[in-house]
Amino acid sequence: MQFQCDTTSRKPIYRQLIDQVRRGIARGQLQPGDRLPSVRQLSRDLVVNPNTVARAYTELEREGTLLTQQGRGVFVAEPGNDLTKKARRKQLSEKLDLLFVEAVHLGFSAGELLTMVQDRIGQFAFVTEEKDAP
Amino acid sequence: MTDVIRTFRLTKHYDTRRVVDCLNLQVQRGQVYGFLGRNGAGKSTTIKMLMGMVQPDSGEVELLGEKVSAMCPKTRERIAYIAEGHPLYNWMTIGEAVRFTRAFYSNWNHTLVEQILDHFELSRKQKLRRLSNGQRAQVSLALAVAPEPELLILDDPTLGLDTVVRRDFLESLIQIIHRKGRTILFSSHILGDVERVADRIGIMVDGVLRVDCPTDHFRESVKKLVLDFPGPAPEAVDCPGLVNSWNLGSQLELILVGYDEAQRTAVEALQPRSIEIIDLNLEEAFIEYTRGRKRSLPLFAMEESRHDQSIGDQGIA
Amino acid sequence: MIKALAIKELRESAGLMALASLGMVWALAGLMGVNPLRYLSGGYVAPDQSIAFVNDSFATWASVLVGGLAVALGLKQSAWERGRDTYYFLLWRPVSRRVVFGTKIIVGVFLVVALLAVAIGIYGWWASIPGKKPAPFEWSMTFSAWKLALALPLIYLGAFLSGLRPGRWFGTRLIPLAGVFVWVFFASAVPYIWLFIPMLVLGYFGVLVAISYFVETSDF
Repeated sequence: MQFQCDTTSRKPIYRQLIDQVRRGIARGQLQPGDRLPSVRQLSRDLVVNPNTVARAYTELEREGTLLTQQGRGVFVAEPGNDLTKKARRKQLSEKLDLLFVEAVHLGFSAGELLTMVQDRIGQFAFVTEEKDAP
Repeated sequence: MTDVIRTFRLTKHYDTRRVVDCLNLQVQRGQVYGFLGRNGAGKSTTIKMLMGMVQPDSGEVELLGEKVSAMCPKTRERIAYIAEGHPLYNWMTIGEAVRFTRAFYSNWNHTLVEQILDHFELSRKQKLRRLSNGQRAQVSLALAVAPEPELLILDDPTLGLDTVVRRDFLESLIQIIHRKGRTILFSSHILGDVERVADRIGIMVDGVLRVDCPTDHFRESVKKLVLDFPGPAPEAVDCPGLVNSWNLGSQLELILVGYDEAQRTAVEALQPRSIEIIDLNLEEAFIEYTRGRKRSLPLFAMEESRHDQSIGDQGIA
Repeated sequence: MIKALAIKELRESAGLMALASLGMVWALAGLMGVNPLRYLSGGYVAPDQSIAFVNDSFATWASVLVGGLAVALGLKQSAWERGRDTYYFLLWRPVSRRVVFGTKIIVGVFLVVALLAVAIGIYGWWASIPGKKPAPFEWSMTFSAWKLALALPLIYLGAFLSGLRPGRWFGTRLIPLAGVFVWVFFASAVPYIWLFIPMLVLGYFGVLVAISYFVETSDF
């Protein structure tokens, strides 16, 4: 996966890196167990301060997305289920609401939105359906 | 942590103009400090005082714990200084410049110099006079890092370099940072570079160090608020941390430092129809901050704390 | 590192030194009667009646050429680096300012004295060849020329001080040089060697103290 950083963006660099890793995982470009470039390597490639890269990695590690193995490197973690399904569902509905607000404002019908969701869904790596799913 | 650079109430006048005003600057070991300010804000004079090239009217400078005014040459071996414009002896060839500089140091990383010169395809026979600005900057950097200094102080090292060459220079700088425990202070006009490289920034406005905090911290605390009013907008708002405001008919734009509860209450008291909070990138934040009403700029000097996003407004200067 | 500094100073002075040497060659040629311009004028060449060093124009030529070198070299060695910002490079090297400026001055004084000494030597050697001059030559006749060799380095130091001292206006910056000129002029006018020497020593002392003061305290 190719990382990028854009200093004209209003997003801080460490945030950009976090978002890129998360997007990479969501799209299946990064699989659990994949190794990420080291802090040094990424710092050199992107020409950013190593502390900025370290900060992004630390944050991703804290939320359970990445895993550091001493001496071996930084890896994509197995998807964790720290939160209950209910809590995760709540988080997602909040995001969905944001999407709906935007769609209404831009003048899309519910049907059009559904079609768009169907079209794009294939680009992402979803987990297979869990048993307890309603 | 130890302070590698430390100034005590450093002050300098040119004629009656106070160029640097009671500056207390502290840079810790391992930090990469971006030193910012508009032209004439006192950055260059400050750096020259750090190096003992300009004598302060009052105050003291300590580098690596030693007073600059009485620093022994041995300590200077551990500190590299690149002045603005990369001054070197133009009549020398690259090889002569290397030989000349090397004569002063007990520690000289020959391989490193060779690597840098090879990497940028610089022949030792080339005269410095004939080099481009970018090549000159690389030679100057090679000479500066060869004695493996603990502290590097660079005065606007990318000034006058084009985008590609600047990137090369930053790459070299990042390589230097990879060495643990190295401290760098550099001034720059290019905010994108500063954001990439600096952990911490200091902003001088009219000789006063107004900002001294982690880089992300500054850009996250300067916010632009757009208030929409049903009728004409009020002329001004009085709240702590206000840097600037513009009345645009039915809209009021505010630049605020450290948007918090108190400010929100003050802004909501104006009863606008809507409030839009806009994040700024470092360059925008710098521009909005430094062109504010100078005397009333809110200071902020934050202690190092990576995940603490609260802003302590230290009052009005 | 002193060697590196000295070589650098020599290299940077080479241009001025070459120019002054060329002038000296031309002047000596004239004194030895091989001035090509005299033949160009095509007219009558007066027989040389002068006595070497005593009543010929050697002292005048030496004052103008070596004095000119002293002034130019002094200004160049101190002010030139300021104009090109190379002091920021040089003065951060791990060596004391005393050594940096000391080396500059020693090289400068050496060059000034060397040019004069070589000129005295060559001209003296030529004048000592029988038949070249109407009067027999004695090395003691070069006494006044050696007096010049004592005085001109002071002019050099005055110029160095002028180039070093910060000052907004060029005119006021030249005050030290002008002062040294007047001092040297008076000292040379004094007919007593026992007074000439102390006056020079006093001059050297004053200028060197001023230089070391500005080296430590002025803004570069």
